[in-house]
Order: sequence, then structure tokens, then C-alpha cells
Amino acid sequence: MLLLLNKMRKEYAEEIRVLAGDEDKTVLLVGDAVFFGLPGMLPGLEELGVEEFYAAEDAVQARGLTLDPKVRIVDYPGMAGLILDDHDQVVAL
Amino acid sequence: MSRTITLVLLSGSTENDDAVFAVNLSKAILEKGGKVNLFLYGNGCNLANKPVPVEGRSAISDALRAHMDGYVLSEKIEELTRLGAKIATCHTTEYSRGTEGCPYLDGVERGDVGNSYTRFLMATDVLLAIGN
Repeated sequence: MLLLLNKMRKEYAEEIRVLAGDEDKTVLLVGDAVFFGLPGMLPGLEELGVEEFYAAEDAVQARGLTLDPKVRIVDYPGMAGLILDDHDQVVAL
Repeated sequence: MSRTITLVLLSGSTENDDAVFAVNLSKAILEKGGKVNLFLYGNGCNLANKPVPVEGRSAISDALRAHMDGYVLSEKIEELTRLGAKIATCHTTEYSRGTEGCPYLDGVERGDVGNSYTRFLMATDVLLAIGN
């Protein structure tokens, strides 16, 4: 399941727990949610079972961030591929 | 198999992360062979209208105008419709913002939740709500 996060909200943890359950989980961080990709921030998502992390290239660059090496940076064609081809279920939180 | 993505854009108009993301992602999906429905809801409806230049000399300096033009999404919205995106507004949210009678960008259609949005949903594989 691909989970699209685009804000910094503490409610995500409960929403992911309820909506994604035991599904394999990948997050795509866009907008202000790219701050979740900073070093030290990922364990909170990993505790929820999130195994793969992607972040929108333009949002990262606009904020001048260097993210955790586990986070893969993707451009818009890459994000389109994640949504169209790589995941049966896509949920925008 | 090509998938149909419906984006509900709740934020707008210009200089807005959510609107820029929704428009750029829509274009990338179309270019990868997907189908896109874009429903402009709430403040998102402010993206639907044609620009109306002020008569006479604008108070905006050329430098500021050049800066602002980089954020304006009107041409990108029309490009999406040329690429095949279906774009509809919510006329109720337009009414409350005083824009219900304003002319639309090329390809944008007047819509509503009960009809346009519902039809989008009935033919959608992925629904993404963007903005707040």
C-alpha cells in the first residue's frame, strides 16, 4: 500500500495503523511531509511497519533539506510510476 | 492497464504547494498513459478561471510580475485539458467565493459534487485528496 503524506500531522500514526494494518507499507512524502524524511524522523514510521520511503524531489529542494539515506528522492514521473504501476492500493492521508 | 486517477484539489490558487503538486503530478500521470480527473473543490476552484488583467497600467512592477508569473498555473491547467484531463469545478464553492460567473480556462467545466464529482468517482481507480 502506498501512503501519500503531504503535511506534518501527528494524526498520521493512528491513521496508518487503522487504514494500513498489516499491509506492506510504502510512504511517499510530498509538500511539508518531506520533513518526516529527516535523519532521526524515520523510526516513528518504521514502528508502524513502513518499509520503503520516497520523497518528492521538488519539495526537498525547495526546503533545502538533506534527508535520511533510506529515503529515495523521486521526480514527478517517478511519483506517477509509484501510483500507476507499483501499488494496487494508494491512500492519500 | 491504464489507471484513472481522480485528484480532489482543496487548496489554491497560485503560490501553493498543494496546487503545484496536483498539477505537476497530473501532467506526469497523463504522460505515462494514465487518465486524470481533477475536481477543483473549496479554494481549489480559484484555479478554474481565466486571468482578468487590470485595465490600464498595473501597479505591479515588472520585476515582481516576472516573479509572480513563475507561480501562475493557468497555462498548466489548460495544458492538462489538452493532454486529456477532465477538470471540473464545484459551482457551490465558486458561488461562495464570488466567482461563479467568471469565465473558465479552456477545457475546464462547471461542475458539482452530486454530478461531476460522482461521475469521476464511479470511474476512478485511485482517489487522491490534496490540500486542506
